[in-house]
Amino acid sequence: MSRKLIGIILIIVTFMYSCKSDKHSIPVSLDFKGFESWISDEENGLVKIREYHGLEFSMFYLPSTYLAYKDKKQANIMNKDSLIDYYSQTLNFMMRVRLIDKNPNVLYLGISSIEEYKERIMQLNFGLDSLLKMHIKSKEYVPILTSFENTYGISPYANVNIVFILPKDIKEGDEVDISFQDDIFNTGIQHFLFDYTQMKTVPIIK
Amino acid sequence: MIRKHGYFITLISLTLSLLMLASYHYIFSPKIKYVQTDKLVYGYEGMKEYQQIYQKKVGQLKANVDSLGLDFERSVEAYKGNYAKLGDAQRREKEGLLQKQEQNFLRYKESVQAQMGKEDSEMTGKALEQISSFVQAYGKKKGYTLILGTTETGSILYGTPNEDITEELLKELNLYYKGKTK
Repeated sequence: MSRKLIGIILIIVTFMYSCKSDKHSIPVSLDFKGFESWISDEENGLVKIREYHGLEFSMFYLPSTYLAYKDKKQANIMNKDSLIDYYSQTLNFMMRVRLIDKNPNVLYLGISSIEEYKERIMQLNFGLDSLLKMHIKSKEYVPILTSFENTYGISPYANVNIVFILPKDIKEGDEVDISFQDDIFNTGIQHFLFDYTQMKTVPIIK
Repeated sequence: MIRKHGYFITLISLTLSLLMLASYHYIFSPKIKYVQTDKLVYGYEGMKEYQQIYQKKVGQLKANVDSLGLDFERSVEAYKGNYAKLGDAQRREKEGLLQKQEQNFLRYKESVQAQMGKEDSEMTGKALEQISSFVQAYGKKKGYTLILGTTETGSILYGTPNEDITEELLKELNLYYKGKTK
């Protein structure tokens, strides 16, 4: 009787284990909001986060389908396929910098005068091209565009949009290393390492 | 029969007490580790990358200094070559210009050396800040009470190899730096 009981328990446990849902499986399709949440989840490999002394740097990879959908929602200029094709020529990222556990605006961190604040804004607006690089295999690429979203204190974080040209010889399995030499908040060099396979494999937006 | 039960109960009680004592000791005694600071700092991939960037900057600055130095030497040689052809007033004028050129060159050389020193200490400072930030987070994650840093010449006179976490910390630090871990 006890052997039968043990056997039944083992079968139930095995069944429950095999039925456990795989967190890392990619859904086939998601609505726009769901897609935004999906790409913001670190487990899915499209956002990389570094922390140094209370400062958090998040590097988000923005898939071409996401950007095309976002653009299409805002203005019906091109059709969706043309937009996807347009964004597929580039690799688009967004870097967010914020203070962990605190609400003050990160742009004021370490600033003691209006001149220092102006210099920081100038660096964010015009000086990022030389501080951001993409490394794939042994090649180095500079951004074709960087754009700082100045929210004028409305949000406590700073967002920077970064665009690189898509290298012709990039393949699935390649590592895409985005480096940021932080001469603005002085935290040193940050590396954000992505897997191109994960960047290519995203759900469809319904 | 009763005696056997008595022995059995005593044995179990003793074993449980010893286990509880050992668990208490394990949970509440301080976990102190140490790292070889020099090995950590110079093995850190971030420090190596900073040094490469620094060497590149220094190379450019040194090239500028050398180029100005060479320019001054050529001016002096040209003056010496033309010395016999020049009158007194022209010589004084040329010498005045050479003096100014030399002073400008020496001032530039001094400012470049100061800049190189500043760049070096800034870059080293940033690398050390990154190491410090990581070590704090690592210590919290592992539940260590204290992580001591030691160099070849002192502060820790003795420590067992078991408490030396330099290699494991350096490995984790470098993986984090390269973006290979969260």
